[in-house]
Amino acid sequence: MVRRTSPPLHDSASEASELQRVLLVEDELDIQTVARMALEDLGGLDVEVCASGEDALVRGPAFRPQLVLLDYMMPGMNGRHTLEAFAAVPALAEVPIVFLTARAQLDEVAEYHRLGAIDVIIKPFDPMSLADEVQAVWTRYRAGSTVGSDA
Amino acid sequence: MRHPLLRRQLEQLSLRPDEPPSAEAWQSFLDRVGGVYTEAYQTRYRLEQELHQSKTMAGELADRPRSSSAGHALSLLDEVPETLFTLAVRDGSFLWLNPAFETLTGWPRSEWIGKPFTSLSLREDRSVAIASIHQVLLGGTTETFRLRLRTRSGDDRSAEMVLKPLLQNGEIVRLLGVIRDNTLHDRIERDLRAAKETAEQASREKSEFLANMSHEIRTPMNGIIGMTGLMLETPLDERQRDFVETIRSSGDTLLTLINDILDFSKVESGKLELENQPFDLRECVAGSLDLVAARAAEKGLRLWSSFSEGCPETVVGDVTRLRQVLVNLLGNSVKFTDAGEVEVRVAAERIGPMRYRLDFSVRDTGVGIPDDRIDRIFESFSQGDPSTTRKFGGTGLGLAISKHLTELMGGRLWAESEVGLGSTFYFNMHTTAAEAAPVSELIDRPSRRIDERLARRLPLRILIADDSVVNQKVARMFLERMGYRADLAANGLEVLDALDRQSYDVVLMDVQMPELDGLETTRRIRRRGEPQPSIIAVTAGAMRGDREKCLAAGMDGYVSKPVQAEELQAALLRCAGLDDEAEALQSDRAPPVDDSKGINLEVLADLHRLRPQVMSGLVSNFLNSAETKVLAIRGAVEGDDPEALEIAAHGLKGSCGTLGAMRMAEVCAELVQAARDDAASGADDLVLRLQHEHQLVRSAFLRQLESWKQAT
Repeated sequence: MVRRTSPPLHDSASEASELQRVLLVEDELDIQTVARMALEDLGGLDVEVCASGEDALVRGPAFRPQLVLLDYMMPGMNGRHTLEAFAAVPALAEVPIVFLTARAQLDEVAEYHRLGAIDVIIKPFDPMSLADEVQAVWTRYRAGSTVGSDA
Repeated sequence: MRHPLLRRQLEQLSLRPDEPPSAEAWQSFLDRVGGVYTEAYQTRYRLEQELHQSKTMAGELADRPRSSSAGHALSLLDEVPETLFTLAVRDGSFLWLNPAFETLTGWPRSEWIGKPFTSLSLREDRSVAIASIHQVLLGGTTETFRLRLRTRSGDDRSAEMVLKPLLQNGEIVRLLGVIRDNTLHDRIERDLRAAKETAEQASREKSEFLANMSHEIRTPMNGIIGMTGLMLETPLDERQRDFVETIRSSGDTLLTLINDILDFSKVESGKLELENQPFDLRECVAGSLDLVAARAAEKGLRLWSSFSEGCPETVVGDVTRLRQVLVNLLGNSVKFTDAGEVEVRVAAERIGPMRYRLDFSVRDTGVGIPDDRIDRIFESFSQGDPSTTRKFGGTGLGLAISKHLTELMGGRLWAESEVGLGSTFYFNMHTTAAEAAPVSELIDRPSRRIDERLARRLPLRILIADDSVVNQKVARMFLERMGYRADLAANGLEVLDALDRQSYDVVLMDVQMPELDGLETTRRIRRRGEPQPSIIAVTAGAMRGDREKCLAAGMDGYVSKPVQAEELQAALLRCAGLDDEAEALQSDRAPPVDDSKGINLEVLADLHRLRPQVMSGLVSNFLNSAETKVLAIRGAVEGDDPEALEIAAHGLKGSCGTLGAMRMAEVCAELVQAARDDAASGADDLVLRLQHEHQLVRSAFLRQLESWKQAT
């Protein structure tokens, strides 16, 4: 199963080029809080927090996220399981996924890319720059799509 | 006319072939022919029926050997109380359901055959159902998941599902599923949790009530004790002095009682958190003996202590609480022994790589306890003999508290005694030896002898301000050994009250106190007029910034917890301007460790600017979960469980780093690496470093919490 690593071409650019809705899947309560503060207050984003992969499968679709920040090490479904299960849910199947994890050795990061994640943000993150970092990932991802469509 | 049957019939009718039959005869002929036809038809029908039945029976007989066990199994599946079903691979629709389905959902089975499995779940849970089916189909794995089901009556049922692929020649031909109804289980769990919360709430309210009551009583008591102290300094005749001394000592006893009750309620309500810091075992025992030495000397008792071979030098635990237990037992022994000796023995038994069980015994040659009373002495408000209280004083809570404390430390407390010969109290605790190098710098050198004449050459009126009963007692006993009689205050407001009543030369000020903390109290004292006391800060933190904050608030000196006699003495000397003597006393002490670089408090400050209202919850939550994870990490290292170690250390690393506890995050990263190298069992020194960092982070964060609280 391979996820798309660039946005679908039929997306209307005006609707989706601005990053607004981010789904955060993270089991640690304090990281949930800090990340939410960082993304909402500094980044002006709408953040929906799910405490597990299971939770994200249930509540994620209704939120229609444009980007998913996904922790790897979680009890129950881990990041990989969650990413794979998203593929079966229409509203989540096409959403770009960024791993937000402290599990970030070279081979692990390679694995994330192989699974179809568009990027990895390494924990511990700096709360003051997390929103910028997410925006940068989003911009690169959008740019990747225009390059892709030109070619 | 060749047919024999017809010919016979014609003969019976006496018809002649050449004569035309009479109408009557013709009618009779027709009736008979018709009857024969009817009879033949019925016979044929009967034979055909029989033939059909025989054929069926033959077929069944032929099939029977093969199909009977399958039929038997199918009927058994009908009896299973769990709902079983199979699904089509093509669209996930029901192929077959057993009758338990009807009991669970109230729907007839027939209505659901051919309908999709997912529409049985609540709408919100459908994506879980879809994802699980996909997982089974794609991965070929058996999946377990939870769903809420729709039922005919409209109630939701919460169910646990197991979906398993059924294979034929390596291909999935259908899915087999089991639904287990968890509704009752979930409801019981919910009810239990609610009951637990109610009980905990009640217990919290009880403790709070006790705390408030104690506080209310303590305030006027402090007035009484303070005033009698002042009165003792005025000219009194011998009789008056005797009266005032009695008021003073009764007041002290009453205050001790109140404080014990408060401490007991804290211990009993489970609110008490034990510290986990490395400490010097021998120094702890020696310090406890120091505290009862004066009274033992008055009665002419000998005090001994001995350590078995193999006792670790340094162990990890709560030194204050261990000392509290020891002092309580030693105090009892000294109190109930008129002649002879009191002896402390410590033995250690190794129970793991770094784990020890420490066995303590406190033996005396005192009055002893009768057999029928020996179990009751550990109960609250109970003493060996009802007359004991009158004769010896005491609250009857000391042993109950000590028993709780030893249990909290993973051990037990019991006694053996013979009336007239003496008693021995035994207790044990589990601990980890701390022999690794990085810790050694944390350990205080054994204190020198206490200068018992300090008060005579340096008379001071001293007020101890500390909300912890144990710390109050320890400081007060050290001061008593130096010859001082100190007054007590439990928070900043009580300090200000006390200073309104009389002047003190020195205030020993705990920095973290409820109501009004040490820093703010100091600022308020400094805004008042003369006379001004010297203020010595007492804090748990070892950070340099802390000390500067205290000095900036207007404090004069600084001692760290747990209070050591030597350090306290040096601080008092400095207050009196005897800096050289203080310096000499402490000349070979290690300077305080500067750990400020390990924690970046800017991160918390930044976050606080974003959302001040959530920060207290966030930091408290972090502290709680860090506590749990540090314990889990220690357990994983002791149990040599690299998997558990990696998970716990990994989780802690993320949280620590995010909140600015950089060095603690680094130690966690090293622990993750150790887990991956399968070196969990060798990570003891990392655990010790983690515990050390954790304490630093904890006190730094708690101070941060406190300062936010003050700011609002």
